[in-house]
Amino acid sequence: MIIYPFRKPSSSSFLFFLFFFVFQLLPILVLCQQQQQDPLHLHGGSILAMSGSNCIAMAVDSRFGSGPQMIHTCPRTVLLLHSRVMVGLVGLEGDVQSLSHEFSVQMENLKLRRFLGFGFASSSSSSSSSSSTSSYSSQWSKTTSMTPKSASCLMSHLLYQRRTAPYYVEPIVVGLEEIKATCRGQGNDHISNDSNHYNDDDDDDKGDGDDQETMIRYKPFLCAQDVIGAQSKSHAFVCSGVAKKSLYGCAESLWRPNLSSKELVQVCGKAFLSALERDCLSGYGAVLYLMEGGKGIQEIQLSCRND
Amino acid sequence: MDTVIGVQYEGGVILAADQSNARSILTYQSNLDKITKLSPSSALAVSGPNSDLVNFSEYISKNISLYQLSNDGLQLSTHAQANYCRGELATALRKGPYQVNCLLGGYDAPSGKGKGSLYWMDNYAALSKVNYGCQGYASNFCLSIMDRDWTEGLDQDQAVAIVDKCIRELEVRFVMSQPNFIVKVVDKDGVRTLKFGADPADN
Repeated sequence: MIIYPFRKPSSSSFLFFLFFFVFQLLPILVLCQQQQQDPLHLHGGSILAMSGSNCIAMAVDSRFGSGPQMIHTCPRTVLLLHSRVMVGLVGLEGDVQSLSHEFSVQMENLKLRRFLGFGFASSSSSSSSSSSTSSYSSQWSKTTSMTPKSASCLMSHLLYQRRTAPYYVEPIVVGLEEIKATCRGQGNDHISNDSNHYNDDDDDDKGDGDDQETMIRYKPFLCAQDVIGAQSKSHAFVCSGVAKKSLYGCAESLWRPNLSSKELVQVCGKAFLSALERDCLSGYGAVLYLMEGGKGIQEIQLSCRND
Repeated sequence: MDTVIGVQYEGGVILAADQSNARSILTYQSNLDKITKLSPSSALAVSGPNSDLVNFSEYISKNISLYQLSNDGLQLSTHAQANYCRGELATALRKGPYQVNCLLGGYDAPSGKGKGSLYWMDNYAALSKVNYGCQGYASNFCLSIMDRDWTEGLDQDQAVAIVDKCIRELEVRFVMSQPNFIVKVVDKDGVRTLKFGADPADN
């Protein structure tokens, strides 16, 4: 920063100030040889995720472009944590790749139980009975799967860490939360989450035995985030990317509750493709990932317009 | 303003770049070599202002050599080199960005992948593995030619023919005059120059 000695503003020195500051700004504006665009709209791409009963579909497009020009067709980056959590990333492609590396590193650290930086080790102390780190580790290794809520919080945290110079990425975190419903006359729902492991007053521990039937239902979890990690959850659908506005409109009109997995594929696919047809920065192929509770993830290729 | 073209074929990669070093209305030199050898089996073709072009390509090539020297001659695969390059661009992006757009082409021996691979990188650190690519205004003219002519399993002559076609097209339709192009090939015999418009060694 260059500091000028204060002078009485006369017309000539005022002009001098003006020219000098404009001159400072010009090199920065000229820096980018491409058109001055919103970084989120430079490389294109869109994602739509919808929920059905016990299943989730996430549709991603395949266009990687530089402004109006298409460079390559390869599906958007979708991180697969395990068979019940997916993270779709769209935005400035360089930041998408950097963020997916960072996220993967964090996941590796958690898997290998290297609790660095986030204080995971200390969070177990809330439990009254098991308050030692080693006990928490054994709890983690028992489940070895992260809930979608936790994945979403982790992603949000990674994005907010760069609050001042954000990653231009708008991720979508989707997943299925297990709900074990035990039918014993009335039926007692309790969510088997890691975060709830300190609830010791569970009815399940009373072994009644004979008439017990444990049904596992899956509750869809959908969360879209903005560039600094503000989470926006929905029980119906979430969208992200350049065609976001069209996608919200299409999804809103086509979605209905309790879709079966076959219906969900049709509804999600149709909503996604209709929105893509109207958007020039997305398209060139679409892939739909269907996540079904207890069955894993299926990849379905959709054909769409190549423009 | 710069033109960089790359075509991957069965057994290697062809990289071509124009040889002019120009800014605004003035051409400083017309025999510049914009394709730097990174390792015995990979090369980086860079487009951008000359300062960043030279700085970036020297930085990357010397760091890759350093890695080799520090690790008992271990050669990085093309995929690793491309990701390293992208990482450098990504780190610099929010500090002092390199305004370079690159094409990195390399050949991996049969124990690795056994074919050439071409990586497209832009100045915002986006990396994409492609079969053919262009940087600069040339992409507006040449990508459609390559879309039509490229197929899986080309040989070197066919790949060079595609590059020649692109260069002819630029001569006819591109408003800027780029009289000289340098064409290099990266294959199992290493990185070598196939042809050039003006000898880069002429100074």
